[in-house]
Amino acid sequence: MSGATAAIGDRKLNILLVDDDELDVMNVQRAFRKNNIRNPLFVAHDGVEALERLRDGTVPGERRLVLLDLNMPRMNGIEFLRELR
Amino acid sequence: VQTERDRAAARAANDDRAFASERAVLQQQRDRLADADRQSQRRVIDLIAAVPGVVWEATVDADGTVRVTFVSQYVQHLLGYEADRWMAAPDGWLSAVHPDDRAAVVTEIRRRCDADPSTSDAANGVDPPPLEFRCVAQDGTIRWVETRVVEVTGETGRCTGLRGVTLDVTARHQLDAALRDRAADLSAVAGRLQESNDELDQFAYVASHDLKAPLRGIANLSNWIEEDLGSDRLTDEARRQFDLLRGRVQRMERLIDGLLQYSQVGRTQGTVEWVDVGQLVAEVIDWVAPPARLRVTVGPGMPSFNADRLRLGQVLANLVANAVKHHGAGDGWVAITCRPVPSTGEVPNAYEFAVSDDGPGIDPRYHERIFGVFQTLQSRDKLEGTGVGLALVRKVVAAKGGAVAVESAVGRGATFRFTWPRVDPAQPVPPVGRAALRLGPTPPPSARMQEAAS
Repeated sequence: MSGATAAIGDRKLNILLVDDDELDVMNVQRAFRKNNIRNPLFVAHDGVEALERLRDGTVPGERRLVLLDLNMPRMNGIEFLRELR
Repeated sequence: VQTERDRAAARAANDDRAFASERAVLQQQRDRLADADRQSQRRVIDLIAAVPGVVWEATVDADGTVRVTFVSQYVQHLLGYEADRWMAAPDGWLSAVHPDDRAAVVTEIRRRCDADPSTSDAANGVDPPPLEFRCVAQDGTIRWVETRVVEVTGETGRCTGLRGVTLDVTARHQLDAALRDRAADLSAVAGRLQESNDELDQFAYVASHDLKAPLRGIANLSNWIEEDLGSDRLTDEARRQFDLLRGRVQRMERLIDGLLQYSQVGRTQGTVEWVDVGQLVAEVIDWVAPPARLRVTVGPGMPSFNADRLRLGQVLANLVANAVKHHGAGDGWVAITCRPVPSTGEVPNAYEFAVSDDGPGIDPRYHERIFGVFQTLQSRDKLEGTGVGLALVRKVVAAKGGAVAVESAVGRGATFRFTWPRVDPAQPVPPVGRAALRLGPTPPPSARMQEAAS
């Protein structure tokens, strides 16, 4: 396999992974590496941090995909979605 | 002439005698009637004296004043006041009624007196409800009484009098109050139980999610270490240890699942439905999927009855799965049978199910231990098992009001028997008798009871 990049049309997708468990983050990173997925992967450890990353421009403002855990400290996945709306 | 007069005199004397004897007969009849009247009065007086309640009579004046004209001796026993006191003053009886109930009692009596007799309860063939209110006895204690009142209608159609019987119902009220207190206590306990059940549910969720997450992490890490080292840097010994590590992780997951199942038995009520046990057993066998070398037979007479299908299926599945799992290699059989208990009656109280096998059997000295939670007779490395199955069976069966037992010896196979009580469809609630019209206060039910009712 010659390197895959998930994209909308031919433009790159920015992925934000929100998970408080370091092992789950590693799991996703390994899976990306293993399958040669080279999209930019940003990591936040709870809803609060995820909102900050989205607001402060760390994650580019276009073509964003969020992979979200539900059970997290401070702000859980459901609260994050409510805030996002 | 002489003879004429003599004859007339003789006739007159004859008439007098006839008259006298007629009068004597009449007098006798009068005496008998008076006697009967006295006897009948005596009977009424004796009966009134024997009534364990106050029998009374009163007149009602045009202005509504109620004067007691007769009251039986029992009143002294009930309230302590002498019988004479009741006749002393118009409305004097009212002073014995609890001050807080007086207005209601007077209003209700007026209402009954003023009601059109043709539309009254009595005219419609209905007994008017008795009045319930409080009286204050001479010693200051409060007595609850129940009074049945009959209105006496005069020639003008106006209610001119009342007759009634007044009974002491204080004991009943005390029982009622005690019952209400107990009900409030129970509902408080039920509330606490609900809270602790909710906590347990929360615990179940935490246990399943949070306890398993680190386990998955351990399994993942062991995989990654193995991958990253690569086959050239990993000894066979190390690879075997990684396999063992992941095996233990899986076992831990199963133990957590088993513990959760066990903790949830009996806390959920379960739905009782019409169960065709023959069909249920077929589903259970299908789910257990025994190997072809084992012949599984289902006895005749599998009943259909109202039962908690999920739990009955769970028990049968655990027993059949156990029989299959512990049977060992080689051909054999597993039999599922059922008989009604008692077997003679037309409608059985329960059904006794048996799951038998010709497997290795269980030494009688372990017959108690096998039902303990997390107990296994073989090392989990030899035969993977959580040790929850039979504990779960016993807990489910006990929660349903049945019992489970094992008959077995080494080399003689095993038979697990359990009883499952039949559940009758809900009985219709019998209609409640007409309640008394309570004029005194009803203690307010506790807040929790109101919640339960709404």
